[in-house]
Amino acid sequence: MISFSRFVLPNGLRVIHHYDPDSSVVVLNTLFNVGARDESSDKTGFAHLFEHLMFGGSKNVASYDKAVENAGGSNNAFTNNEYTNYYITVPAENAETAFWLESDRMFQLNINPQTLEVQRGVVVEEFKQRCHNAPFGMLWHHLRGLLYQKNPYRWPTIGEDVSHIENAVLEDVSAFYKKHYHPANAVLCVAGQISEEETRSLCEKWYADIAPTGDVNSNLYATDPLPETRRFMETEDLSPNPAVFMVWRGPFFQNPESAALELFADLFGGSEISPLYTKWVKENPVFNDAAAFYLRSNGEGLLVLYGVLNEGETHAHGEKCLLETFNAAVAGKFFTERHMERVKNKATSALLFEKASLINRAQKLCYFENLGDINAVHDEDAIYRYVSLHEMLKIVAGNINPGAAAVLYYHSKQSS
Amino acid sequence: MNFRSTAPEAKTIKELSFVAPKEFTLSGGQSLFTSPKRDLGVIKLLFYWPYGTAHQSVPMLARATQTLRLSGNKNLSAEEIQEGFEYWGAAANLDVGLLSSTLVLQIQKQHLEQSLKWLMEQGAEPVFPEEELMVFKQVEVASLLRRMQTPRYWSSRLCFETLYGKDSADTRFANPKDIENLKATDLKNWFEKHLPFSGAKLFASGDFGDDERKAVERLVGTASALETPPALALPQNPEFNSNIRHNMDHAQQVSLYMGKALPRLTIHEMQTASFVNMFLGGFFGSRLMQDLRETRGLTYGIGSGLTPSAHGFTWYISGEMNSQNAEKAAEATRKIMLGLAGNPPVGEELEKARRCASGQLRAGFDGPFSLPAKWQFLMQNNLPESYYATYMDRIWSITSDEISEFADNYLHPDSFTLALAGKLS
Repeated sequence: MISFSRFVLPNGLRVIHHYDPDSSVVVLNTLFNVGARDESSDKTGFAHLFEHLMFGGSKNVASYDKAVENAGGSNNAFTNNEYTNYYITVPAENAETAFWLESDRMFQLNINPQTLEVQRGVVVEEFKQRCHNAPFGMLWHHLRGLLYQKNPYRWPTIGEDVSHIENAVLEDVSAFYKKHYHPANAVLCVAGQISEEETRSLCEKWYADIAPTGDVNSNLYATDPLPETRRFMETEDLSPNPAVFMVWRGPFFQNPESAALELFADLFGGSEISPLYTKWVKENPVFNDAAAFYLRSNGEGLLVLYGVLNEGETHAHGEKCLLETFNAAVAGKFFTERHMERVKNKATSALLFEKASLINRAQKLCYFENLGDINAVHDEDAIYRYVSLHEMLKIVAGNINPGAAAVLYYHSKQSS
Repeated sequence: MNFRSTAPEAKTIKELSFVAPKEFTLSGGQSLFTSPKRDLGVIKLLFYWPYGTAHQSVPMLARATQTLRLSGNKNLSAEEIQEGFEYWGAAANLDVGLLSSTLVLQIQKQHLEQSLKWLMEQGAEPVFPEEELMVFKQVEVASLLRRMQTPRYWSSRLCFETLYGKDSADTRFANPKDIENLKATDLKNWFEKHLPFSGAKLFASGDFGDDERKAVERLVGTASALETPPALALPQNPEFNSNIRHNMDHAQQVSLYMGKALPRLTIHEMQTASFVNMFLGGFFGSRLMQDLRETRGLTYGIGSGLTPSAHGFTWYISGEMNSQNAEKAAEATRKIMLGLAGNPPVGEELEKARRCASGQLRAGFDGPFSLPAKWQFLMQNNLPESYYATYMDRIWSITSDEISEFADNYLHPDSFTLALAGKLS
């Protein structure tokens, strides 16, 4: 149980306070309700590029990082398709520095040509490092392109094409900031060794005068109908081992059915004792690695199965192995009530360990508040508890059409 | 006056206060260190053995043994053993470093008894089944071949192999053939000699109180002290001042890796080295990050650090950059290294690093699971418990002249090996 209190400033900023007497630090976690799905198709990678620009200083803070370091703190951020999350940790006695820094960059960021030029270069190198220099680095570019035609989930957070980042101009960046980076479109969690009273007082002081400059994100996006037939592409990759990936779209995070799909994926291919792994990596080694997972998100979830092929195995055979085993699992061939008990215990343990970290708790509180129901943070475990084996399999069968997967074949590119 | 234009006072952190782990001796003689109890519902129990890859006779032996130690015994298969953990929502995470091997049992407090009992019963006498070793080989070879496609893999490997020699305790990078040649009997021998539960030190953290301690006392077997790890052979023909270039046509970047072997340092020298490293590439405000990333946008990330070696430490610098920028970045790195001796940090730069290092030192002790890693570091490097408190003092007492002198002694770029791997322009 994560204890918290919540209040809303007149400018629309939602604030969550979470007290941890055992901690010596204070965390300020700020979630802005803007992600890669809010980009236009010719300017992808923008939300992530903007995350970098947020460290370029603001009207009253010449250097954000220097100020954090001066206070003995640390900070970081991440962007995904749905939101952008910034967190700063400072010694408890320097909590006000964090309020100063975070509020000032929400109030008036210093967006200038020099910062933009440098960060464009940094992000381009990040793109190459993550996508071009790593085996299967372009995976999500390929998969998302197969899954969606209109929906902005069709490109990954890093951007569809590196040229979009190279071509970003100051005007676009400023408009992005004005539209999305304001208090009514954000959630702030103040966590750690700080009282509720002090939190309220510091929020009043540092955030109350920041006016909203845009609307609250409507979270409405173009949708694509669920595919009814198999979609397919094949491409080359620097991995010496060819691979098969199969993906389906599934229910979004708040839908309890997404938890059932998560449990199923874990049982089916989440560990080395899953039927997918034991059957095709150990007993009959078609693959040298195989797994399944359900990527929950507050847009749509994705069920992913994959296998990395051993030498001499064909893609078609690999796909057949994945699909036949999946069908057998959904038909109830592999799992018993003991399996259900096991996967629920695993999920519960994972949640408890997640919540042991102060930063994780702050991020969870912001995440659920942004979804519209912060109290749901208490029910994460309960969602796992309710579902039975029979219900889980029924939910998977009802959501996943085996014949309508997005299928990706990776061939090995000859390399030096 | 605009209240925002005045920064709130940032107080300096000069003291480190934490509750040190309590040490208990189990009935068999093993040490059990416990962190202060936190009401979380979960526990981490770490088993630590002072043997790692530096002590192995052939590449991958230590990793293979530790990875497969729960892969079957005379009664149960790997799947059955793993199922026993997962049923209780527990996980046994296995790892191997240069100088140690670890097993971390992550458990819900309510299932401590069942999970720990299971670990003790099923993990005491592994048989390393041939079929499990075969799967391990297949998976590891494929994974290694994928890693070998990345510039980072080659820059670090070539740097270490040049620095210490290909067959030294510090390197022993595995090739696919080494993995394929592993034998179950060698794994069994390695396990029996170096990794029995009876020879481990234990660290408990999280929701761990007296009742849980009694359960550990009851369930963890009696000890038979391990031999002290033998002295490791000195590297043969170590080289320095080597400039290695490794072209990879398919790559889109170049990975830079620079390294230097440091001898075993005194506590005072270690603390100085840690703090001097801050200025080089040890934090976001370091000279490398500020110049190469924040001013020139040449890299997504570049950093430096000190990593344990068989006979001391390796000081390394590592980063990835555009092919056209690689030589430029290497040259800039050399200048920054020289600059720490010729133009040591003073004033604001020195103060900022002090504040940052002291804040991070304290934050490193925050959280319910922080202490075991801190104690593991002390143990691995034969350091006293007072190390962290004295490091805090050192951060605030070190002078600019001392930094200059230390950098002059240890950080001259000509004494480092440089490896650039990737698409060389």
